[in-house]
Amino acid sequence: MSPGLQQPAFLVLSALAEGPLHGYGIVQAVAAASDGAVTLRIGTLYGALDRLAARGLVVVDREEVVDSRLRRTYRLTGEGERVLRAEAQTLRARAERALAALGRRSAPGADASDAGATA
Amino acid sequence: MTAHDAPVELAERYARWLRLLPPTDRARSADEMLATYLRTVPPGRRRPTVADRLDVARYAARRWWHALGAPADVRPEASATVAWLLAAALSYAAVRALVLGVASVREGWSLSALAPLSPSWALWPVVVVALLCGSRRVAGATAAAAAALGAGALVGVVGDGERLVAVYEVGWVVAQAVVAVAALRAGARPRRRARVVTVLVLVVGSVLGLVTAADLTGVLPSGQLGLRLAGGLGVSALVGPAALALVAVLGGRVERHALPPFAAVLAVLVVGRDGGLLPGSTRWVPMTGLPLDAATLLPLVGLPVLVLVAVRLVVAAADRAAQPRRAVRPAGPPV
Repeated sequence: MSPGLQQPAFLVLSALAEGPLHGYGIVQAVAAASDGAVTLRIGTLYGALDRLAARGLVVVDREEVVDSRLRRTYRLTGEGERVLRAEAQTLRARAERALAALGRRSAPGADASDAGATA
Repeated sequence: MTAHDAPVELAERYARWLRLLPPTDRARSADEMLATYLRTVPPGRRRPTVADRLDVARYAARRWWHALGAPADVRPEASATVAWLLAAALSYAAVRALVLGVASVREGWSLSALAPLSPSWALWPVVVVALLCGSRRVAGATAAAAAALGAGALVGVVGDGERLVAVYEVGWVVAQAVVAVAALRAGARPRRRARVVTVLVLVVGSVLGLVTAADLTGVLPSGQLGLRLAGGLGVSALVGPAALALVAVLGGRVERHALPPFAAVLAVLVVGRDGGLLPGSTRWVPMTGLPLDAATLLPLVGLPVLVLVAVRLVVAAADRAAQPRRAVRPAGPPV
């Protein structure tokens, strides 16, 4: 994760990439995208939304009253889309490098060189 | 479960926890967060889980921490205003300490008793010049070095058994540290009127510092003026805040948001100096003068923090009053 985008912020941006969502919708989208492995806490979610809004990466799309309570729907800005794309590409490049390293490790001869190094 | 289906008791309990948020955040987000919490709880729950309570408390602590600083849109300029004006105001203490330091060395007086912070103040001209030249990082790093030197000097003073002197001087070290943080956080130069006031404060502060030190060292004949200026609160803690208040009155939102750190620094100086440093003097804060004593530490730390929070809340209220009314207002009972 880059220093400028923490994991919750990345997850929130990823959830909003498919379209505007309200707070509970973001929690559900993050859980679904991680097969239930990640559950965003509400305080974490709104902390991330605060930071992303301050950086101009998300904005309130609309406000409505549902069940007598305020509901805000958030959406990605153009800058948010650009930052998310850059972050995703960085993560993909890192993942590919890690997979390539694992590939080299399991390639024929890797064990032999390990044995030579430890001999 | 929908927010509507949630038991009233559960909603009230969440709402009670959400009252931990600062007023601005409570007005903006508490209702929305409450609705989101209520949608995530499984049916049958009657009270927030420990994890949810900790979650709210952690979020509230972060928002309070954030609320103590200027909003992101004015922070660069407000920090710059704090750095410039406070650095200029501290010229009074710097000039006075440097002159007294030189006199101490010449006359063989005790430097740790008369001007213990003079080594750290020796760096102050670099801070001021760097700020005026726009080198905020150099200014910030130099001010941080000055604060570190000052803190080291205070430790030495305490080691020498001069605890009262350490309490008396600690406010200056805090002020140096505040300048360091503000300079490093500044993302712009202050506005023109703040720069003009800074130069005025710098000149007035330096002259007053010089006069005070000259009088204290016997260069001037009266022997009274310097004592008056140096004693009690004097101009030492008033020059900066008064200047900033002037700028705030003349200026706008940016200058307003520069006021809380100034007020906190003023509080540290006042508490440190009015802690009854002379035997038999009247103390309005219960300080013993022993740096490791709770009766000394609590006022020194607690009162400035309280002042910081109070002034910040007033500034936030002024911001809200200045904002146009929102087009969409949250419905339902406030939390």
